[in-house]
Amino acid sequence: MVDERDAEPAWERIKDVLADALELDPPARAAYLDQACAGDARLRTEVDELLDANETPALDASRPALTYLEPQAPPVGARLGGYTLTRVIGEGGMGRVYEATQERPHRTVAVKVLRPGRMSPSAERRFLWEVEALGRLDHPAIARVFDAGVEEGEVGGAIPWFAMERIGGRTLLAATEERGLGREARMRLFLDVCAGVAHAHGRGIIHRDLKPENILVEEDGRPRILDFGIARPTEQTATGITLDGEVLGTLAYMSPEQLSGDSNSVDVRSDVYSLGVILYRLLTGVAPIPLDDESLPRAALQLSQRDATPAGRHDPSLRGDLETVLATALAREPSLRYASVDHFATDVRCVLENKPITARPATALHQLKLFARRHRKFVALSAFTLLALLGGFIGTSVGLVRAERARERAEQDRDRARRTNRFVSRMLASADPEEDGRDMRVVDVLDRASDELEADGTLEAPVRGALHLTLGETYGQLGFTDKALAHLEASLEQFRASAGESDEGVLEARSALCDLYIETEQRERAEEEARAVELAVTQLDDPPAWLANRPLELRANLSWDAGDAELTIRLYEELLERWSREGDAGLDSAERARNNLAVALMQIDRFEEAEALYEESVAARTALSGPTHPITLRVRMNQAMAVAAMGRPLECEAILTEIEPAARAAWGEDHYEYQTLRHNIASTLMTLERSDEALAIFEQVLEHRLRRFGRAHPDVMRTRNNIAVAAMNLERFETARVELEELVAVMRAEPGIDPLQILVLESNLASALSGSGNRDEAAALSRRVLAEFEELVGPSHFRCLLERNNLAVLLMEMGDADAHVLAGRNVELAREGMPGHPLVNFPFRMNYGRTLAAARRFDEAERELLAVHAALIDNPDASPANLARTAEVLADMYAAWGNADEAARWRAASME
Amino acid sequence: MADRQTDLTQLLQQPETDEEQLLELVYEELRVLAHSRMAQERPGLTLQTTALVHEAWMRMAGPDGERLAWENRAHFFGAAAIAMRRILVERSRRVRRERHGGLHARQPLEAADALGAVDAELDADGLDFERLDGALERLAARDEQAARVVDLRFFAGLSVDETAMALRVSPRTVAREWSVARAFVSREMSVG
Repeated sequence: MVDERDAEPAWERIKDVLADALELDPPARAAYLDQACAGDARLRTEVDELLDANETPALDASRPALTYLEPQAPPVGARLGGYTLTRVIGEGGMGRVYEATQERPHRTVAVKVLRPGRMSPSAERRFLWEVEALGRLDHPAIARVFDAGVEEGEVGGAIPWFAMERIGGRTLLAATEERGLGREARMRLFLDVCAGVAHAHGRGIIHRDLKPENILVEEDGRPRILDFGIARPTEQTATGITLDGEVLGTLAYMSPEQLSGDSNSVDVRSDVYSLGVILYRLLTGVAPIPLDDESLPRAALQLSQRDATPAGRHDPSLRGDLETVLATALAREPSLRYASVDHFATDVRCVLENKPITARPATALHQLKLFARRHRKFVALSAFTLLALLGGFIGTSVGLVRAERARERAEQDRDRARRTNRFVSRMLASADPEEDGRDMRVVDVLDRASDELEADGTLEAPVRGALHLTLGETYGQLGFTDKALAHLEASLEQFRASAGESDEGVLEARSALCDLYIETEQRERAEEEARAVELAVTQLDDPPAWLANRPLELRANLSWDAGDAELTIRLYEELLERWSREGDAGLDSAERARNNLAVALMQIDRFEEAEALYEESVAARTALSGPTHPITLRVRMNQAMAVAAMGRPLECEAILTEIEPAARAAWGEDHYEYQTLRHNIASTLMTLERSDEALAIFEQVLEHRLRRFGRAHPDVMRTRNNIAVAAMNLERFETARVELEELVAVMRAEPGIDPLQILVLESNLASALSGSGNRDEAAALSRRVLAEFEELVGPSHFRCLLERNNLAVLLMEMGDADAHVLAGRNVELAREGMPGHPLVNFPFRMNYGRTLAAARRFDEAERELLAVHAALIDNPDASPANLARTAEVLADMYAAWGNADEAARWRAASME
Repeated sequence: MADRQTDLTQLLQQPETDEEQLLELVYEELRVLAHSRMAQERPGLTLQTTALVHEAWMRMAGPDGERLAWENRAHFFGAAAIAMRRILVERSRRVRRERHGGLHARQPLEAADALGAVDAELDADGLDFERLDGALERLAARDEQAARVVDLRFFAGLSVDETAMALRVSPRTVAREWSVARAFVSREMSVG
């Protein structure tokens, strides 16, 4: 018997107890250990030892390995220049601040020691020269700099330091809180800060790192700015992405041009931006761009790509002038900001004195805001839909192109469309999906907004144009083409009336119309609009990318519609390349082009390439917008469809199931996109022969779609059709027949439905009829469907091949000895129409073999069926079920031929 | 640069990454980067491990990096952690050798010896990387995952969440592994 006291306790056991103990407060540990280690003294000793050692941990999570290699700052008591360091009073990303005493004159100063490092003589000279320039700054709001030097560290490395006025104050935010300053007092304090910054700007010195921590408020209430000109974190980190945790605070106050690491473009307006962030914080208590994500690359990306949240969202009383002033200071594009701190300060003063500000929002923006406020929900939904534009195939990337334009346009007052974009994106940010519940149909919300837009006589033409455009696009995406058309035409009219034929709004409305005409199969009109857009764009001097690329985009969409996949692919490749050249500004559009390219590739069965594109797309989208963003979800949905098309339904199902919860959270149960996702899940389940589960989901989807679209909508039709197919898979032919007959009747009564879609329904109905025993009726219907298909899409189209195949089998089952003629022709046409496709072999050729056997033409049947079997064996992807089925057919054939041996052999093979 | 990007991107996307080759590539890059950091002319910049590894990633993967799947990045960070550990342990060894050999003069700053140039600056806060390495090897013998957590968090400077993603475990697990590993390493280093 093993003596337990001597046995080495297993590491797993030690680990469990240790980890649990470490999670407990020390007082609770003893009791826990008594119980957990009862009777195991070795375990207790081991854990106690580890806990003891942990009291002086050798590692610190906040101090990764490389920091141990940093040269250390000088210790307290050391002398730098004529100063004796007496104690440490601060520690920051740049270095350490000491309190220090000077002998002569005797005074207490602050000495800031920058992180030691290597300095070349020229760098040393530059540093001293800069400090000297700072020494000449003389302003009550700026801390005085007395002296500076570069000391040789004891163990190597240069230690640059400078001595400045010792200021005993609190940092700006803490001080305003403690003093309980009201809005007006905060603004006055801020104006004092601006005066100091403007003074330095006047002497050619830019601060570059303005933040509340660098502004101290003294006892008497005076603000004092520290660290002028010293901090240049962006110079050393080329991308702004490599900054570490403690720098995050600084990051939030940096202008986009600083974040992008473009140190050449940093000028006084960068300080304007930082001051804008400071004022924003002073007035709202929060940052203009919330950073909920801890990862620095993401944070930097968000800061450089997002607009500030309108201040009025945090506090409605800020709406109006103050919100405008802040938005102007925080414009991402420097040329849209106040040109100087003085300009900024003047507007702040005007607000204080109730005078008109210079940066007044144009009436158009003001009106858009008012309208948007009344229609928060509508806007929320339409914005979501704009973002979710990526339907199976995307029309024009209007929504996001607008965002690009926001970056590219510089003419502040004339840029109506830019404001439209802001209006939409702002509302997206401010919409609260929980607020209104989700029972209302999107279309009702749109209808209500449309009514109000009509009734509101106060809106200016460009505003009406923009709103009509948004409404039209949203209706279009939801499939309400009539309403979409009316709005887009109204939009075109408004833009044209207000600004003439070559206005950007006109081009935008025309592009949207073009896409809608494509959608509604009005090809000539679509081409007309595309030509008009192209002509107008070619006449523009140096059009911005979103306009310059638009004609190409429309051409690609048109060629897609014309069924020319090869051309579409070429055009989208070019578009993708063009957008990729635009850098960050083109990211979204590039991704759209990539998606469309992938969809087109899928069309001509270039699945591998499509899948690869989707993979890139998913990665890019996830990095760009996060894994749960509607666009990311949409791309993943398309990716799933590509995977399904490559015959990997299991993977497809895994992807769709994975994104389902995020999609529900993003869109809401009742949303079009979410229901599309559910529909796709069900379709995939059907492929996986889980038709019962599929049926249940389809029925739920149908309920949603009926509520939303009414009975005659194409989406409703699709779902009902799938319900019927699922029912047939479950051998419930009668249910399927009833469903399909009713559906065909509904669709026939509806004007403007694509006849092909009705034929697909009738084709399925023929199968249902045949399955439920009405063979004559089925055959008659199938013949008619086949004839009409041939007429519409040509005899070797996939649809025809399928129908002919079904009809031949049906005829064979009905005892028609000529069924093989039809089946044989079908194989020939299939070889022509889809050469090399696996379906040609199975089921088309296999069924040809069957019909030959039924006609007792055994020689030919044997030849065909053996060839089918051999081809299946050669195809690694062939399903075992198909192999078994072919063997079974062979066995039947040999049995009928009277060859019992072969029949038995194949029968056995079919059982394997 | 372009070649390195291709190398890395290709390497990471191969079904069977050549681990040694990856490690070598990352190791070289990190050494060069660390060198340029040490030689930085302007003071005021902290040497940050996370920054260094992230920057190495950006430089090596280039603009394609954003498009690579997270698994590929995780893979890279895993290699970076090992590379950093190796760099620091080697450096530590050299410092000890040189101290014993009485070499104390400042050294010329050359690429090959970038880290050696600041050797002498190891201070009282300094950590004995050789002993740490030994402690981690003993930990890995008992508990591979806990040792990997230390590599990623301490040597590559990844956050809890990033470490969790790299190891495909929950952040809670990472926190637990870290606390256990820290206790273990602390004991190993305090005793012998």
